[in-house]
Amino acid sequence: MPIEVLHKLKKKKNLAVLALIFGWVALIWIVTIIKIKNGG
Amino acid sequence: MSDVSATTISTTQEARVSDYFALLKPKVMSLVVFSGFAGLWVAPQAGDLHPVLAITAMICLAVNAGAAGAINMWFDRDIDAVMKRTKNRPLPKGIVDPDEALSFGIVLSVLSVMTMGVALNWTAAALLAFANVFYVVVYTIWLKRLTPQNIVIGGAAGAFPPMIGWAAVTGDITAASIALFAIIFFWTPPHFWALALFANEDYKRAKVPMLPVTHGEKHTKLQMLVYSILMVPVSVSPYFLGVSGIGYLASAALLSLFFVYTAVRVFLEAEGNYKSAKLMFGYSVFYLFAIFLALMIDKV
Repeated sequence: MPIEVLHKLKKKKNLAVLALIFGWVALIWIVTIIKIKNGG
Repeated sequence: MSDVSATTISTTQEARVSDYFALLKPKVMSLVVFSGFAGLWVAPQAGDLHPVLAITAMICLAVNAGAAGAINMWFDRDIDAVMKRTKNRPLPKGIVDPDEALSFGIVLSVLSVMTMGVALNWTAAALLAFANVFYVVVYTIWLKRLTPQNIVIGGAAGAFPPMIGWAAVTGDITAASIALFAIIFFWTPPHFWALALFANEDYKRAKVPMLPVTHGEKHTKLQMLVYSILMVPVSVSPYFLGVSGIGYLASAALLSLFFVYTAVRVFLEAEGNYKSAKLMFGYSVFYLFAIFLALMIDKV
C-alpha cells in the first residue's frame, strides 16, 4: 500500500492534531504576552 | 493482494476525530467546566483575572477531565464492553486502538497540567494533577473493582473542579474552597447509587461491586438518605464562610431539602420499582447545576 493512501485516510485526524499543536503554541504565546504586560 | 485488502479494511475503520472527542466524555466534561467556573467566579478578586487566563484555566480543566476520562475508558474497556450503557464507546467497538487512547489521555493530561501551571499558578496545576491521578489510579484502577465504597472515595476526584477554579484565581486552598469541594463530595454517592439502583443488572454483568449489587437495595437506599441529609449543612456552609449571601442560603436550603425528599421517596419505594430512583437521578444532575448557578448569581 503506497503511503499516500494512508495519509489520505488519516488526513482529517492529522489535520486536527496539527491544529491542536498550533492552537496550543498560540495559547502559550498569548498567555506569555499577557503575563509580561501584567509585569509577571 | 490479500495483504492489501486486509490493510484497506483496517484503515477504512480508522477512528474519526469525533471518536477521539467521545473518549473525552463530553457530558462529564460539561459538569466539570461548569462547577470549575463557579469556583473561579466566586473566588475573591476574580474580576482581576484577565479573561484570556480565565478561559485558559477552563480549557485546562476541561481537557484534563477529558484526558482522565480517556485513560478511564482505556482501563475499563473490558467492563464497558459488557455494559449496555457503555458498549457503544469507541474502545469496546474497536474503533480506537487501546494504545492510542492511553497515549491520547496521557499527552493531554501532561499538557493541561503544564499549561495551567505556566498560565495561572502551580497550586491550581498541582490540584489538577492530583485530581487526575486520583481519578485514574485511586478510583479507576484501584477502588472501582475492589470495594462498594468505590464512588465515595473515588468521587472526591470529581469534587476538585470548583477548588481548582478557585485556586486558579487565588493560588491557594481555603475553608471556602474546601466547602465547594464538600458539596460535590457528598452529592456524588446518592447521585451514583440512584443510577446504580436502576442499572443494577448492568453492574452485576460487569462484576463491578456497586453497593446495590453487594449490599442490596435497602442498605443502598439508607446510605443515600444519610448522604443526602449530610449534604444539607454542607450545601449552606458557603453562606456561613462568607462566600455567598442570603439569596444563596435560601436557594441551597430549598434545593437540598428537596434532594432529601427525593431520597426519602427512594427509601420508601418498594424493591424492584425504580420510578423514584430515576427521578432522584435526574434531579441530582439539575441540583448540582442549580446550586452552583445560585452561588454565581448571588455573587453578581
